[in-house]
Amino acid sequence: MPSLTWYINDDNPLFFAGWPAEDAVVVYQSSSGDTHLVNELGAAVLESLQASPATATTLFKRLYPSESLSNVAINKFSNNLLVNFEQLGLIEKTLS
Amino acid sequence: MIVADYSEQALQDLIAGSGLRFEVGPFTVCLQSSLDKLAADIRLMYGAYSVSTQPFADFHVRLDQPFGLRRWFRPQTNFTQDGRTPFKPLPLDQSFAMFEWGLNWCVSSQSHQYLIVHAAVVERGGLALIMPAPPGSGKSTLCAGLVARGWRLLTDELALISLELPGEVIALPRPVSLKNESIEVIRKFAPQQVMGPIAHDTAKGTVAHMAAPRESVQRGGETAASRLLIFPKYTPGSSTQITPRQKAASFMELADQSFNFNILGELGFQALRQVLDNCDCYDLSYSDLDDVIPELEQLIDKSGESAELVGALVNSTAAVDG
Repeated sequence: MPSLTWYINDDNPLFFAGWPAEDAVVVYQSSSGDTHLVNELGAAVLESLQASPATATTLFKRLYPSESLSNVAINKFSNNLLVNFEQLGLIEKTLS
Repeated sequence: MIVADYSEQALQDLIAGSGLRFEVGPFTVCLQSSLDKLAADIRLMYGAYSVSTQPFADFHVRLDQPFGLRRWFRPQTNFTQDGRTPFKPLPLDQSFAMFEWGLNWCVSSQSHQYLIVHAAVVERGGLALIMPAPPGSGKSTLCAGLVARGWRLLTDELALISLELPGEVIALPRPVSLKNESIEVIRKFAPQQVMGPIAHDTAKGTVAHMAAPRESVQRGGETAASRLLIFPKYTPGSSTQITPRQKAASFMELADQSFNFNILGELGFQALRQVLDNCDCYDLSYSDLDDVIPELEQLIDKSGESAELVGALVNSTAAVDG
């Protein structure tokens, strides 16, 4: 069954600025010039996708290796974060 | 040679003819004008600045009266740069203020070799205190007060962040723009400071400028390392309150206050990140210059000591590793 793979376009890299003991990270998108303030989880998702593309399930496993997977959790994760980031133009998706 | 070495008449003749070329921070300005009184104001406010002997100037600006009725009836001034007229004319008695605002426009719209942030910057002990803030926040009043108490003025309005020297601020010492009640506050607080002409009924209210101290002008070639980032807010009747704030949120504010962050792309992002790496960030609420200035002096001196301590620890660790 095909699934959605999320990725960050190589032509559209993100740059991060974060500091110890802070709960927010600055994300800068070079192509649009947009700057975003995201929470630590959001920054971890973007950094992980910048390292390599992933499905929502793979991404969830990368971020929460010891958590058990449930469709509800993954759907929530996908809708809350990934779709939001896609709408902001930070990430893209492909059917694989 | 400095501008004050010219007599007022000689300066007026120069400005009316080939133009006065003088050094303002990293820029050379060529000023020409047919206005009678401008030379006296320039001599008063820019007397300590070096006259340039180079044929090149970064900004060629002119201030003249327009032709026609406005030459005689409610006379006005026009500002032009390289033949462009970016603003509508202003009343003649606002000529010096118009020169200042015009020069702000030249620097902020055309100097993309720097990251430019709308902020005042002052220095003490080699460390820069950066104060970004929207108009009406009391930034310039605080800046003028600090400068009157011996801090070096780097800028009152346009912070030039180096793209080549990480975290360094380039000096652009120019007159400090004071508005409305701030004019009288600074007159009383620092009567020894040179104040320029008063412009009434401007778009910003009543405006007057405080000249940059001679030492700040003479040290215009020295950069300063960013160390404190403070967001000031004048709150009438309040005691001084200094509250730590997060660097990431401060980054966003600085980017928002920048004139060319988006134009510079990744270079601007990295320059700003370096500033935030260097700086402790605070919100500041104040109402009394006598109260707030010692607090800021203590804060920057302490931050300098902690930076030295970190530097010493890094060096000793490197020595152990080596």
